[in-house]
Amino acid sequence: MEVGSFSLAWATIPLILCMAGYLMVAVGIREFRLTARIVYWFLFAMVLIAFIELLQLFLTDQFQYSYVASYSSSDLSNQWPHFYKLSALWAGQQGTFLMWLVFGLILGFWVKSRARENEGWVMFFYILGQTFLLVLTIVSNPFEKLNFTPVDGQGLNPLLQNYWMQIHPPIVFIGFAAACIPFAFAMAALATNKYDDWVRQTMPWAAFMVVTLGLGIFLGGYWSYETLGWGGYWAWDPVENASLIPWLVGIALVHGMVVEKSRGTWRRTNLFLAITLFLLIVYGTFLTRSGVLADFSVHSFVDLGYNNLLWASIVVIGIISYGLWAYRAYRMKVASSSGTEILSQEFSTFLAMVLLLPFTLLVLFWTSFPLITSLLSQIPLLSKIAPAPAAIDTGNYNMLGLIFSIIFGVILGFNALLGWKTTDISLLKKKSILPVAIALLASVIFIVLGFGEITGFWSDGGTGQLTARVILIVSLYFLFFFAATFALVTNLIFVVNRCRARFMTSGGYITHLGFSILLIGFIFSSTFGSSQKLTIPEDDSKSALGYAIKFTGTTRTAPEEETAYFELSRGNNTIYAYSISKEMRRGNQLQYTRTPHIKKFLSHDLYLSLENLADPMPGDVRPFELHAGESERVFGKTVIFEGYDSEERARRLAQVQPTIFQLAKGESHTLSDATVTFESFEMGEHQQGMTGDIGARLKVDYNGRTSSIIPTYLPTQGTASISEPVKFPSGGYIKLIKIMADAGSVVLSHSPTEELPDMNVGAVVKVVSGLDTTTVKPVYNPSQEHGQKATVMLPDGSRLILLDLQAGENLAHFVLEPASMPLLASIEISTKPMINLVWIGFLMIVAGAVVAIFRRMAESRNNG
Amino acid sequence: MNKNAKTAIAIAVVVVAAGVGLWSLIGGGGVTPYVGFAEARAAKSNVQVMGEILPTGTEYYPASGTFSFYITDDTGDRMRVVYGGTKPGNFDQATSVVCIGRYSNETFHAEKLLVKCPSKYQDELLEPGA
Repeated sequence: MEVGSFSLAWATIPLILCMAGYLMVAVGIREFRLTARIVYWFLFAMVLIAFIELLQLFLTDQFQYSYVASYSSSDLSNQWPHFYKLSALWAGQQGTFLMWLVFGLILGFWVKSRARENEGWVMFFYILGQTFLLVLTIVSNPFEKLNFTPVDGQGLNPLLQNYWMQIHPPIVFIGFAAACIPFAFAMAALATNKYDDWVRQTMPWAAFMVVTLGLGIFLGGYWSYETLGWGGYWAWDPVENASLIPWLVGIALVHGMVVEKSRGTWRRTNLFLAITLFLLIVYGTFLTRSGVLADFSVHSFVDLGYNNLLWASIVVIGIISYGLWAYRAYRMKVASSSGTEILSQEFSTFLAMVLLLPFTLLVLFWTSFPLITSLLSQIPLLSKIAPAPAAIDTGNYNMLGLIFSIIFGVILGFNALLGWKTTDISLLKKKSILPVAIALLASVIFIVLGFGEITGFWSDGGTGQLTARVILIVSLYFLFFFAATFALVTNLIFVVNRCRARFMTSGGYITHLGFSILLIGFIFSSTFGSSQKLTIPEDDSKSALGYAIKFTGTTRTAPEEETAYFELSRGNNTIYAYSISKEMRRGNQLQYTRTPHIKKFLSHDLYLSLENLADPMPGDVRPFELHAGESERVFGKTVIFEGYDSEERARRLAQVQPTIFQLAKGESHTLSDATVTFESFEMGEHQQGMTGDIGARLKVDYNGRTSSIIPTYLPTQGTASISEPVKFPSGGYIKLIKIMADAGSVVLSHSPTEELPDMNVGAVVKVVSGLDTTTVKPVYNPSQEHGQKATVMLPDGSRLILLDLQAGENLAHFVLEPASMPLLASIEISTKPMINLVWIGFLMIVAGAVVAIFRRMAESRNNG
Repeated sequence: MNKNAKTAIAIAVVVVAAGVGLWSLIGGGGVTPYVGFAEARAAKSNVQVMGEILPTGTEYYPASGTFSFYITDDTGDRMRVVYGGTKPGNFDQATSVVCIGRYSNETFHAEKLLVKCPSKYQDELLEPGA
């Protein structure tokens, strides 16, 4: 057995001993305290040994271990600042659980020193919380060995190969680990039935949890925006929601504690929230690690087969903690909450908390929706309500967020104007005039300027009609802008005034100010942005969002690294943008990471993300059709079909040319006494990696006899998009010219004669390339498929091929083969207005909370 | 303010919030059920389907900026999917894909693709030893 798994497995012994010891201390046998403390050190040491062992395995490329082989590889960098072999440790679930456990045990040392006379119960419950993690780590076992040693590991997902991976997950898991602390203090308070100290002791920890998890969420959002090129920072993905939900509960808990500290009310609610916070962390782990949501998220999940364990943990911890809570809460004496005035911060805090909880519950319910519906669909009686698993559209979350933001904005705005216990009404009126006026003015301006964008963002099909829904949404936006600006102004005034006098007490208001800035940033960057997708061949340019975007080329900076360059010009300004594309083979799968280019302006970001960089496949050189007089832009050239070299011959050609007709499925067409019906598409056998043939099954009724013919289109044949002719029962030949699978129809041609006439008709084609114009005359001869004269060479070496000329309709089909195949860059270009407000707002929330932690820690020390 | 009034306010707020939640469910675009091919063809609103990508390759339509491919389910049923965006970078390595959108004219028009890259390789390649 490995040192690591040995150490982990045997860590259960000190864990149990330590819990037993602390239980003794808790019931009053204080002699056990030293023993319990020493055993805790043993527990920590054994887990730490496992962690160091795992770290060692990663750093020394021990690929005989399944976990190392799955997430690391020998070529991973480990030079400053790219410690990828280190961060690969928490790329998978097994290592994540171990890291989480280590953080939990480290925090335990502080918890112990803070708990003072309550150490026994607090540590007992704290270690109970760690039990869940230790068992998970043992069961998932990062030290599992393969029965062979691979030459190399599968490597780290290139999306994770950057410094954010070294920062974001550890901070999130410190936040997760910290969520166990309020739980332990709450349970200890319930066990001893003494509640006088618990808030003072727990408050810094609850705030610490909110700060770390919040910072983790923020970094994750910034990571996905700045580096991953996903374009957004928040997508209501289950993995994101699994962190958001406990974070919101943590926020509610902190606010509830402020009230409890001041008045002694809200005790039962706070104890309940502290328990729920921890359980939600466990539930979130279940939701995102168990694979139940695998089909509903862009994050990848692997079901490692310990769902039952996770369920059991939730149920066991839930029964113990809620049971104890219910038992105590029923008998608890709480301070009376009467005497609270409506115009007081106490009441606004109450109101905000009451609203935060249903919001959190809805997000929780919606995130769990696929799980709930899939469970329901398996129960015979209930499967009528939920016949299949279903997910909630992200539009719902946005709408929910919008509505709640309005209410929170108004509460936050008034909160800064109110006194803690009472407020003088005339003073309130006087103080609110300016903020209300500013907010009204700002929201009118926003609505007038942004009307088009708002309705566009929420439109169903862009009908542009002033429906009830549009009116409703615009009014919601108006209210939103009013509420957010109002909150921003009142809190800003407050913070500016307070900073001069008592800075340490302004933490909450800085957070509220940050929140209102964040709200405005959210709505601007999501609603008022515009975006466009383009595919640009190398050296060519296309225009989007007012910029002419030129794809100037690529350079290969390393065997697996390529940089694509773009020039975005508008007027005299040119922005030089680039995107680094890294490719990596992970197992048998090739993955790419492409850094977006972000040009920051004060008012917005211009966001260019490279989505695909590809050598054109033969299929990308596709035929295009032109009627006489029309033009088409192909590979940087404009091709204009002007007419024929001889009108006389063109007329003669029209007389003998095949008839072209289109058939939808089931439709019939009559051709010289025969009826032809298109029955279905016929897909040929396709082999791995090969494009299959697609044919059209045609039923022909002729002379009372029915037969089937299947002209087949071979898409693998590059430029040849027309099928081989198939003999038609009543004479002539049938060809399949085009498949329109969108409409479920095919285009067929029927030639009256077996041999097409041998005659030459030239098409006059003008090709404009930059400033040069060339006129060429490719020749069409119906008797020769792609006759030599049908292909003309252009000055730069590219070739124009006349595939087909339908003189009757003045329609020609061409193919332009570029001299050298240009690379194709597929990009998305978008603007993100006011995105900086999102970052500023979030950082202010965190900064304000840090100020609050220091204040509460100081209080906690002074009073204790 | 007395305790009863406060409780009443709390209940009222929760009811309103629940109402808002339910309403936004209707207003924001509803749920997208996870269905099989047959149900997807019959559905009138957005659904999500998962299928294996047929190795027939993808077809680009530069004019509309869309691409199309075929997916198949366990029963061998096939469906054509058109996606109005650029091909996701890892699409060519994907085995199966979740498509969110609606079906019309013999084609599933996807608004969103969740590309599922092979995660099975872990079991196949790296079966932990006994």
